[in-house]
Amino acid sequence: MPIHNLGYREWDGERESGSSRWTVVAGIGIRRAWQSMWLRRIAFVVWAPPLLYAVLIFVFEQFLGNESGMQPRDFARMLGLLLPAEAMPGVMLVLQNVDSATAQELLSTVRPVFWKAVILQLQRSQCIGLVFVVGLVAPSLISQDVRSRAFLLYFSRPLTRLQYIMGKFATVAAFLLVTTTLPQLLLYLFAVLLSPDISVIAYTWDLPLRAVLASVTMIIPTSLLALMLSSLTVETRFATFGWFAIWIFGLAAYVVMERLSGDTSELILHLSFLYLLFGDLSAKILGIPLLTSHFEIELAFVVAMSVICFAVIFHRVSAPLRA
Amino acid sequence: MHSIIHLQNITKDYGRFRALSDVNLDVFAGVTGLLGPNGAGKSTLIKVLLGLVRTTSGKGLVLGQDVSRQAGNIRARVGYMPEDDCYMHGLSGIESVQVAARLSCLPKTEGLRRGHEILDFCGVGQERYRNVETYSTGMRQKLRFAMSIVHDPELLILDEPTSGLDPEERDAMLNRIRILSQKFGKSIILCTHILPDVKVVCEHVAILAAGRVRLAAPLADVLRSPDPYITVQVQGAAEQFAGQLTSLGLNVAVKGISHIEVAGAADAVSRMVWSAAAKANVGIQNLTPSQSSLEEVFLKAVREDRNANS
Repeated sequence: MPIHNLGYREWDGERESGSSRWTVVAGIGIRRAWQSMWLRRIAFVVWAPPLLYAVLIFVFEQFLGNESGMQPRDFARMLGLLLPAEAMPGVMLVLQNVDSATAQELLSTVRPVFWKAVILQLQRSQCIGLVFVVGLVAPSLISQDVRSRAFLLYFSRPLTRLQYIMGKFATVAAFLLVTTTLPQLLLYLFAVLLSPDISVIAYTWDLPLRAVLASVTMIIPTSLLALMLSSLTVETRFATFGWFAIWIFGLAAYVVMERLSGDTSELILHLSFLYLLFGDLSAKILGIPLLTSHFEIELAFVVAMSVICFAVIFHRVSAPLRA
Repeated sequence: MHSIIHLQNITKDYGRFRALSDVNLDVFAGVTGLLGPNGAGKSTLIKVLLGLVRTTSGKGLVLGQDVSRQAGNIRARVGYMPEDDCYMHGLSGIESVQVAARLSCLPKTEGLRRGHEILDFCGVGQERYRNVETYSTGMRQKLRFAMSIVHDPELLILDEPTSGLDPEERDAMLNRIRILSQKFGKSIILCTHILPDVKVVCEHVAILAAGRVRLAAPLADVLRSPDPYITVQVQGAAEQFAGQLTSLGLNVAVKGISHIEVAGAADAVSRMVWSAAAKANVGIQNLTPSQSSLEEVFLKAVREDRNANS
């Protein structure tokens, strides 16, 4: 027996508010996930693209600083290297309208377009990182609790099922915010710092808000989808397989449909592959014009997917208590 | 006496299966043994008490809180130790207890301090820093017990707390239960199949069978024999002593050289036995009132239920 054992003692201290219980669940998840060496490596790797794009912005700003009399066509060519092909015609429309603008007006129009393009591209590359981060964090979150029957330990406390799900969701979202949203915001900050004067904020102030909104549009459905897969099994590896299968089969379906039947609707192609779906939504939210846009349908699809995933998670989390 | 749990006509159906049927039960302060064969509805009853499942009909109050509307308040004031071998994956023992404390709204640092204190009380030493997945069954049992009491609950529901423990640990666990009840006034519901445990620590007993409460009474009343007698062990002439008792109008049966059974409740006949012994000049070595065994009472309650069903 330890020499400091005082036996049982009553406790009458001040209790905390119950509304923050979900943060305890999130804390457990984050601590547990961070023990994975693979996750630490990937979290490190997904910070590489923002550094590359920061260099690109640096070069761009240096180029503008030379006042080399750059023409819209030159900008378009530069943007063409960065932007997804489907966005180019729309960007050209914007640039054609500034043909007759003064140099200052040209900069105030082109700079936001360039920054948006960079952030969109960063978001697309971060989307690949997202697949790996979520694939390492989410599959074990609920499946391990089902397997170790931890539900009874959680729910015999004053913790609601909604708070439990919020905690699990926050675990995934925390990693995604750090690996996708934060780099975008830092990239914007970097771009502002490189700009010739602070007035650039006046016509780009909405960009960080749009970037956060675009990230959230990606984080919510992907997190819920991965948690749903985790709740459907007691075997973490099955949930992991399901998660990566969705992306790999989505890509395969996209490639096959595009190659075999050229007349397949672009909407169906994009709905079948989440990468393109989130790319479209991000482009729209960031304000990059696309020639063909199905924003409303794609947004409705993402919302419906999120609601269904949440309903399944809620049902599965309640199941062990009903048994 | 004021009841801490009051259940009135509680019925719980899972689809077409009726798990609890018109359960009426009052649980009083102290340690109450909840007994019943497998499938009797004990686990469902516990879930109802914790507000984890909705009742089909009936009303229930736990610590004065409605089970269907104030489940959160109930769970904040109740500690529950599940029977299942459940644990929080990837955490050490002390982290598990700290998490349990924090889920019951104890501040972070206080949860850690309290966790260490409770693990000391539960006899968990340096193993507390090991991952729970490496724990033995007995260690996990102690850990779950620690998690259930870390927030200083008013009512403890312990589901098979001594199963899987070696005799020494079992005694230690029962001792902890006794300390919590007697020294700190905790009310405890002990669900167990180990009837000697009930005899050792419980003051009340409730027997559940096929979703119905078959018996709910103080343990002393349950153990009281329907045909009471006392067994007297004497030193000296038992025959002469028996004759003396018979002359006093007592119904006596000699059971060997030195043992005599005297019909009647102990408090009614013991005075007469002592005076007869003085007259017969024999010494009384032992005087034991008769008791029903808890096993008999349990089996009788369960068989009555089966007979009623058949």
